Amino acid sequence: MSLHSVLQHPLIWQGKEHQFHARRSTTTGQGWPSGYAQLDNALPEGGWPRGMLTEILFDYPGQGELQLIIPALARMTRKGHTTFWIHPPFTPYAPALQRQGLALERLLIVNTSQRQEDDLWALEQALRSDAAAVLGWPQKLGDRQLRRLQLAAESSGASAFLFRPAGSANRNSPAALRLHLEQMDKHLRLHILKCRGRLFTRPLELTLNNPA
Amino acid sequence: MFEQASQPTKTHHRLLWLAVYFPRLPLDALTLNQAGTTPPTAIYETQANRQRICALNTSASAAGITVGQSYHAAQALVSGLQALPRDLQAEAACLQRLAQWALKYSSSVHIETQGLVLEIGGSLKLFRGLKNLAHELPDALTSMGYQVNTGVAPTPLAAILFARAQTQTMVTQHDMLHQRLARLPVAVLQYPQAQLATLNGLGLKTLGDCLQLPRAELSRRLGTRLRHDLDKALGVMPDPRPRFVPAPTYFGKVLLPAPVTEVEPLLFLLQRLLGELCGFLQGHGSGAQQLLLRLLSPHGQDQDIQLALLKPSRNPRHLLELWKEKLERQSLAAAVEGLELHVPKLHPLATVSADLLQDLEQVSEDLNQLIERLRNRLGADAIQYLQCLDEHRPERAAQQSTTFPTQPRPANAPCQTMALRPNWLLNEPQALSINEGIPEYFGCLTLLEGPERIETGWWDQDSVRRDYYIASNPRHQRLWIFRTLDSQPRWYLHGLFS
Repeated sequence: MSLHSVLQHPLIWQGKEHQFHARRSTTTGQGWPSGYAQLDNALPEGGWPRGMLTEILFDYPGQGELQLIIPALARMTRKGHTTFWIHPPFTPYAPALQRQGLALERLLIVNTSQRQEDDLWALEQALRSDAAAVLGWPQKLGDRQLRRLQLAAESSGASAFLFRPAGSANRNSPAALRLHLEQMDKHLRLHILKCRGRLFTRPLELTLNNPA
Repeated sequence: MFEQASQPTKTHHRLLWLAVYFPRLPLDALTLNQAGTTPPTAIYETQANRQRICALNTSASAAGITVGQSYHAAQALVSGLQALPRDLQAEAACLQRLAQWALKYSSSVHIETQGLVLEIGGSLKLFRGLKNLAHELPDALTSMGYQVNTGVAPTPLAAILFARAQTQTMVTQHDMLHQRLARLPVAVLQYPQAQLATLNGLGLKTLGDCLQLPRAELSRRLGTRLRHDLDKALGVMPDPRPRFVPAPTYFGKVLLPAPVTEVEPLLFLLQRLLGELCGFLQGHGSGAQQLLLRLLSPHGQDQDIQLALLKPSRNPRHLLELWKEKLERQSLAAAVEGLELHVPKLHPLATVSADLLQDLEQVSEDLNQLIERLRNRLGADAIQYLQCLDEHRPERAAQQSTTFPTQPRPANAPCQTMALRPNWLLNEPQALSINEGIPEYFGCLTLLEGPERIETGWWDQDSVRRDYYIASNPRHQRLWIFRTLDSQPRWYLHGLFS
């Protein structure tokens, strides 16, 4: 008797914990599963919130800020949803993204000129569309502009990810979720500065999927 | 007698005609008419050396001017009156455009004096009944800035007469026709003034008065024209009309009453042109992909603005939004006197029944429109897709293109290596400084993994011989760096693990 036929037997229960999690997140929450069970458990929507702004604050690029949302993007794009990347600071590298399961034909890179107003305009337009996620790296954002983006996200249900310098942590923001990343030696420390519906006193310690 | 002759015949009783009459066409063909915002404007025509007002806008009529008044009296009445001579050519062109537009309601459209007639008997099902159609069509014209009156009847001429009478009469049955026509004043025939005076002199005030006269007497005293017209209106006499045949391309032109330097009034005009264009396209079963808008200015300072779409479209809202974006960012080099809209080639565009439209198709249509808006403002190459290529050289293993990857190789252009690759790649490798043999990037680098040797491309100009490492710096950035494999090795930063 081979192992395979044993696994086929209906009376054999396999502790597929990840499946359990996936089911839980679709029933209890509206969010996009982040691919990190620890994070999904912590967030009230069971994943990245939809129709709201998520701010990811970090000190320097290359600290895992993109890696944090890659599993969710992979899930969205493979389901046929479009994701917009508005004016990314570097070239997203296709082989790396594909290796992690993203469907490349669902990524749309929008290169604007250097003008901030074009970035914001494109962000808002994309957020009002039926895209699943819109990623932006806006330089400076005022209160009013953030609010506009929030309204745009609400209107369509798209998830907005804004990557911003850690310095903006002290400013007020209408974002539903604000995270500050701190790269430790082997893992990522996630300070949850704000989370609608939940208060966090301790940071999350997360090990990323693609550790380098 | 007429009564007997007006029995419906088999060939007629299924046809139904909708006439549209534009009472203010001399004005509407020339100007934009936004209630309240425009100065009093009137159009005058010259007849027998006398200049009379033949059309006016709401602010002019509010000021007390009436149609038929002499030009000088009107000038005396309103000091700031903008008076323009009637332009029959512009009116004819306007009717041509409107006929093109009306093709979306019926394939049988006919141009009339100051109006159109459409055979709608065959379109009723499509537009869910007469009431819907009879409302939708004038509403659409009104929103484009035209003043309209409509009439419906089983014969084209009767429909036209009802429309001219401005009573919104709708007659669908032949047996009602005689009775309803009889009530109309003779003025709706729009005969020359002298002939109308003759009718009046005979005490013939309404069509009913004329219909009561013996036929032979009517022809003898008043000529055959009146008798023929009455017969046509009643459907006793055949009334063949040349069908409007659309041009294979679209050209629309509107002129402004006075040059403008702001974009806002242009958008209003453009909306009208686009509405007409899209009706025309719908009637044609086609869409536009390349559009040219010419802003007409005096002294040859015309400006051309091109619009190229990803896919043919005939959605007026979408097109207007794209132009709006362009126009609002364009500085008008000179005052604009008018607009020309030109579509040199029509592309077949299937009519999609709204009921059959899948949600998914709708979604991708929205996405296409968004991409068009983004391209329109940010430039044609602003939107890019990523693709993997079958290449060992890291900088060549990826490609960005502006077109949707038509054949996404599913399992896919096997990204050559299973080794770790960074999410971010620098456009150009960045040379790193060396401190005591150790490369630096915001502090000394610690090598975490490597080397991965990439040695390829010797067959062309760009041979690559490198050892790649994953490194980190005191800022905790994860970096993808390489060392060249030659006599004088140098270090470069090539990507960021994010």
